[in-house]
Amino acid sequence: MAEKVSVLEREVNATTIPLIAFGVALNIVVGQAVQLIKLPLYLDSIGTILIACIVGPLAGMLTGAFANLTLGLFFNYAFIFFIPVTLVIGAFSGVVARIGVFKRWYSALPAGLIQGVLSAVASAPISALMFGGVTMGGTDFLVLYFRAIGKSIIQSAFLQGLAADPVDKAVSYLIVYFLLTRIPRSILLRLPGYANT
Amino acid sequence: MPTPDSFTRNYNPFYHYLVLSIVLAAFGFRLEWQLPVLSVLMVVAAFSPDRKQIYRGFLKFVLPLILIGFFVNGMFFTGNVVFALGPLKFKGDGLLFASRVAVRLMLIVISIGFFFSKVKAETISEYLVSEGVDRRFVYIYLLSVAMVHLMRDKLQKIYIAQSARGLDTTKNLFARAKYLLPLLVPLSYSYIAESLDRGIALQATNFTGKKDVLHGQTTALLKIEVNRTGLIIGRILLVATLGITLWRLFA
Repeated sequence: MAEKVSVLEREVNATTIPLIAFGVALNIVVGQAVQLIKLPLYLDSIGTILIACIVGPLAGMLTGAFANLTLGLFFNYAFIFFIPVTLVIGAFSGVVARIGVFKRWYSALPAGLIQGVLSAVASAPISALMFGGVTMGGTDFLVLYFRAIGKSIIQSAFLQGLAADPVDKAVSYLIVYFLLTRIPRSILLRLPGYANT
Repeated sequence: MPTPDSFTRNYNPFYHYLVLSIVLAAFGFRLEWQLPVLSVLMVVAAFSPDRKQIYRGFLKFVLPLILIGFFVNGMFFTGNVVFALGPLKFKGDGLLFASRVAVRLMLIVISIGFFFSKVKAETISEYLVSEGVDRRFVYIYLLSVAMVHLMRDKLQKIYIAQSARGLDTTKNLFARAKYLLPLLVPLSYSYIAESLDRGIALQATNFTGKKDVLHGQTTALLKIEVNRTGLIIGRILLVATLGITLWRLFA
């Protein structure tokens, strides 16, 4: 009888550990690529979404958590407090990958939009209660705008997330879809989540 | 990086974290407690050999955040105007809220700054492994930190190569978004392939995360022995952290 393997053992093993580390580094480095191209987006979850798709939800959550931990320790302490948001992103993208949203662009796009709403819901309390709505991000002016029209801090932080995150996550999902279509099948076949691609 | 002569260097790194947690749990929730603790920490930081590192984190991250926070919350809170700067009117409640956020952030950043100036990342990793934390997580952390530098160099090379082939970052937004793929595809392709090969190498060494594959091999990392007294101190600190946190939250 085959030994029962836990989710942790299945998703975090010798084969997947370097992939998770790659996802962590990709999250960090894509930020640099976005700056090089001067795009007004974060796209700092591409590694999390990619690993959640090609390995699994738990691996995606670990990727996001480690990426924010590393970013927090080396670049900006604020990232550490947003680890719960990365857990939501990893879990959601891993689950939707299993139902095949990354097989077609027109299913990846709405999934990205939903992911954006979930991220906004998860990040608003952290942003509002921990940082007073200001996180030194490029979309802080939106918080300023919503405060000016009379919204509370938590409402402003949520609306700011709602204005920025769905676009950001939809683009991230599309980029992951295009990445997966451009990586040779011979490589994809060796990945644990090949069936999701 | 901790200074070699630091008196805290040979203490168990996890205790640093627990002491930090106790300070935050006891004093981190109320402004009247936060201010004196912050003042003490600022004075201690000023005399610390690692003051440059601690204050660098403060100036780089917290100061701009605090200034913007005062501006945003002071201007847009409802309530009585306490002072005006030309057309800018600042409300009392907003400034009080911004002060609370500012003090909380300063307390957190200075505490974290103290912790990481005294304890090396490698020391924490080694200690966590010796205490039974799954070495897979430690390996992921160390490998990803190493990969970031390599990937940055590679991305820069790909960017230069793609620029030579006509990648133009002055075009409109959609065109620029399309240029992200020629950068990310070669980067991801090479690193996924490399990661899969690295995975095979790990499998070959029977890396499971639980078994010590080094078998007592010497290491350059600082070895910290945990004796019976140390264990008791650790448990007392852990219980105190939990107790004070619960007391502060629910009392």
